[in-house]
Order: sequence, then structure tokens, then C-alpha cells
Amino acid sequence: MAIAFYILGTVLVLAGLRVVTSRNLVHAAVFLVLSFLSLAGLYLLLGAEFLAAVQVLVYAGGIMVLFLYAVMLVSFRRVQQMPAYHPKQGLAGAALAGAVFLVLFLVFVASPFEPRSVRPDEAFVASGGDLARVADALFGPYVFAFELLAVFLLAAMVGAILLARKEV
Amino acid sequence: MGLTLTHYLVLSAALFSIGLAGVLTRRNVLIVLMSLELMLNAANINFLAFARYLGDDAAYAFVLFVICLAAGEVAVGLALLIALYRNKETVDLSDYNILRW
Repeated sequence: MAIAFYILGTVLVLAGLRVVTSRNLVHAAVFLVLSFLSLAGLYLLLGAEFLAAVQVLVYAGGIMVLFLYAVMLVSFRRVQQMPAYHPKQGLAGAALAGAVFLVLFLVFVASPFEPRSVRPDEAFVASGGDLARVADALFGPYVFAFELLAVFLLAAMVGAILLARKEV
Repeated sequence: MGLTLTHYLVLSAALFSIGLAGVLTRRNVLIVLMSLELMLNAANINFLAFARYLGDDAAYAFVLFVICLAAGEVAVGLALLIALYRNKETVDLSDYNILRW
């Protein structure tokens, strides 16, 4: 199990770095798919089979189609010619991101979390895994948030269609 | 001793920082949107790791909420991008300065 975590984690970090550094938009999109798939693998390691499936369907399926559609709309030559990074802000931004990672790393390592395993155990799987827990939460205490989410998705859909239309 | 909470927290911190670096340094608005997705996914890893650590069941629903919000955010963001591209013919963030004076 630990070896799977390290492999998936390495793939995830390297793919994420390639997304952030690649000049070619299509390459960035493909590496984004790779990072989404390794994330789905990490969800499986945490016992979230349903959410791993949702991750593959929504992210690697739906969101990537949207991204590739937008990539195909913009001019390839113009993207290749424009500078990839902000000239001065780029260095400061990279340094800030590195500092954020350093601070988070030190805080997490120093935090008094018990070093117990987070692997899904027999009782977790026998009680229905993550699907039963998602269902219990969505139709129990969070039913209002669930309904609100439906309204949000409708609003996002109407807004996206309105914004992308030719004449408003 | 197997995988502990700290392993997952450090991995998600790495992913979050990579996304943050992308948002702060890149000029291409599409790459910035992709980096935002990486940052949202880093939060999801934390949700799931803490759910196992604390035995709290609500976190699984929150991950679903985050995925839904990310999908809506990308749809609206890319629609905005298409509307902007129709007017400006560029994806360079430094050229989006019509609201500045």
C-alpha cells in the first residue's frame, strides 16, 4: 500500500509541475488528466471508491473536454509566441509558493497527529464504504446544501451559455 | 507503521503549492485555470485523509461538493474566457486591462 502511495504521489507531483511549466496548452491538458487519474488512485487508497469514480467521470471526463474545447478555440501560434511567465512577478510568485510549501510542511510535520494508519479497515468497507456515507450526509444533515448545489449548477449552466453566446 | 495522516497532508501541501505557483507566475489564462483545479484537488485529498483519521463521515459529502463547485467554476470561467477572447483575441492575462485605468 505504501509503495502505491509513493508511486501515485510522485506521478501526481511531476504531472502537476508539468502542467504549471509547459508552454504547449495541449501538453498541459494531458498532464492535467494524468494528475486527475493519480488523484483518483489516491482516493482509492483512502477507501473512497465512489469518489474516485466521480473524480474520473467529472474531472478526467467532463472538465477535460471543456478545457480541450477552449484550447482548440484559441490561436496556437499566438500562444506559442507570448511569454509564458510574468517577468518580475514570476520569480516572486514562485518564491512565495515555495515559502507556502515550506511553512505548510513544517506545520504538518510538527503537528501532534497520532501516527496511526489511515488505511480503510474492514469495518469501514463492511458499513458501506464512502458511498453510504455520502448518501447519509447528502440526504441527512446536508440536504439543504445539496439542493443549493443543484441551484448553483443550474445558475452556472445558464450563466455559461449566456456568456459564451455571440450576441448578448 | 503504514501511511499516516501526515503523508497525505504533505502531498496535498505540495500539490497546493504547485497550483499556487502556476496561478502566480503564468500569463496564459488557461494554465491559470488548470492550476486552480490542482489547488482544489489538494483540498480534496485533505478532506479524505482527515475523514479517515477522525472517522468523520460528512467529509465525503464535502468532497462531492468541491467537485461540483469546480465543475461549475470551470464552465463559467471558460465561458468568460471565450467572451474575452472574442473581444481581445488573446489569452495573455497582462492584456486583460480594460477594467484598469
